[in-house]
Amino acid sequence: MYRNWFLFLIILLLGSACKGPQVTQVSFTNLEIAGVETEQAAAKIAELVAPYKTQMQVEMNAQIGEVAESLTKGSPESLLGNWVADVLAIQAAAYTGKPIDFAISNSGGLRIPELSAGPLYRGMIYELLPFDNMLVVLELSAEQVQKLANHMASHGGWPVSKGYKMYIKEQKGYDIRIADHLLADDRIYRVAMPDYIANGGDDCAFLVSVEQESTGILMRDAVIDFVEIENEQGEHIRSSLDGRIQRM
Amino acid sequence: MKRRTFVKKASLGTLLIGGVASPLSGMIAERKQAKITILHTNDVHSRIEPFARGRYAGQGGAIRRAQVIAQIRKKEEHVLLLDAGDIFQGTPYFNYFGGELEFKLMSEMQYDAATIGNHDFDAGIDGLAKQLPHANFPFLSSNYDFSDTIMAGKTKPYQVFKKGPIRIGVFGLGIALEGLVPKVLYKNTRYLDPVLKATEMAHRLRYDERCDYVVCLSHLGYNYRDASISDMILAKRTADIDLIIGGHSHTFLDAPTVVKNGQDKPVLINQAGWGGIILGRLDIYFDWSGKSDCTYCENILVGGAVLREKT
Repeated sequence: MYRNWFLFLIILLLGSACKGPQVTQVSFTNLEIAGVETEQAAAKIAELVAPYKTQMQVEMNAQIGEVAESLTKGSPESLLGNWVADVLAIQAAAYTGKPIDFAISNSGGLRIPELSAGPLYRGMIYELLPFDNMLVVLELSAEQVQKLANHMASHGGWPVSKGYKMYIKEQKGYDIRIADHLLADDRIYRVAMPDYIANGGDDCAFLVSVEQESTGILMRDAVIDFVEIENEQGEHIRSSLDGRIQRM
Repeated sequence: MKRRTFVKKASLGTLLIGGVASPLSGMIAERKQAKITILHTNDVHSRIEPFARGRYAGQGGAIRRAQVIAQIRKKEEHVLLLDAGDIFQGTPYFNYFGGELEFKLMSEMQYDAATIGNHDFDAGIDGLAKQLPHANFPFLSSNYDFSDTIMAGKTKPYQVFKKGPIRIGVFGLGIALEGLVPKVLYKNTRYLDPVLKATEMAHRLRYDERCDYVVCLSHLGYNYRDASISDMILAKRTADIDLIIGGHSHTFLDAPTVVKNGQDKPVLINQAGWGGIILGRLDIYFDWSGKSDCTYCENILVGGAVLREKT
């Protein structure tokens, strides 16, 4: 009797062995990563991180310029928005080697409310422009510039560079002037902007079909580059309001 | 719980074991079960240090993740550590070092594999390829065709991991790049239909590679309001996938979601938030006691502590 049981068991085992394992149960825990840092595993990671952290801190805490007076963000125009757009226009011209009619950024692309007066550290530009958006140039017709103007107007006004002027009325752009001239149908306008916008971001789908000219530089790096050059020449960062966008 | 499942599964077997001499029954018990521990992260986004401010202040951090993983490895024999993509972008560590440190840390933590997320293209496909030497683990992607790019031959569609007696097949899936990532960054990467590739991969892993467990490492996203392909839709439209480890949507789940697939079999979907705040853990128990009709093979969720973001 005992032997029969045993044999039966062997057969059962042989039979089941061919079938492979089946999942019987799964238990889960989503572990929260927090708490005290101890143990050797942690020590090795800390050791790996340390040189990078040190190097990064050195660079992030490096002073690259001086802000003359606090640049605050707002609309329809603002000290901070005007400054960033002006820098983008200057740098887009420098990096493409061709003149730029004007530059824009979306308001949401500027991520801090204020660039404080005093020493300007590299890390502050990272906080201002954390995204890796490339600076690109689009060649737009007068009709497309009007469309863009309406879009900016419907968002309360976006940062635009010196030389661009318009009035906002009922969420549309009026009396748009570039270098004091009204839009002309036979002209093509070279407009610098973050590739995020050019790729249709912030509801700018109407720009997607337009070919982009690359500057090869990130917006953030373009701004840092500008600040460093100004600093070498002993210039402080300053901005002004000139009524480039006004509400009617 | 383990015991109860076993009893339900083969009452005759239990009876038999009860009647047999103890040395043999000990041997049988050993032979009859195996346990695999799958650990996973997603969308860590270069969060090497714990969050400094905001709602997640003090949470996450590579040092503590490494510590938690090390503690689990001490207790568990068969651990599989996976990442579902978007390793890159989010802190100046990425802006400065292009993902080098992220890969080095994951290598040190002994990740077994990762898939590629959309933000892993943020330094361009060349930037991604440049960092690969810092990773000692494979990148799995079955639906990105890199053949006309610098990444050609540097990824695998899938890999089989042998953990003790268990063969685990893992394949990777990436999200559609057009409209999400600038083409200048992903260049000639071709996006292939994830449902078709998943079907092909799962079949190959289950039947050709004879895997006991099939895992999809996905960066498609958990679920969408529209009909966009997601982990939820993928699970329903495919067969032979046991587990989808997801990413992209930064979803915090209290528990893995269970969805029935095309064969009416359960698929688990899990995701671990983002930023390295959560380490997903699934302990999977296998049993050799027989029946393939799976009346008792259903994945049973044994409730773990629900740990999620602090509010």
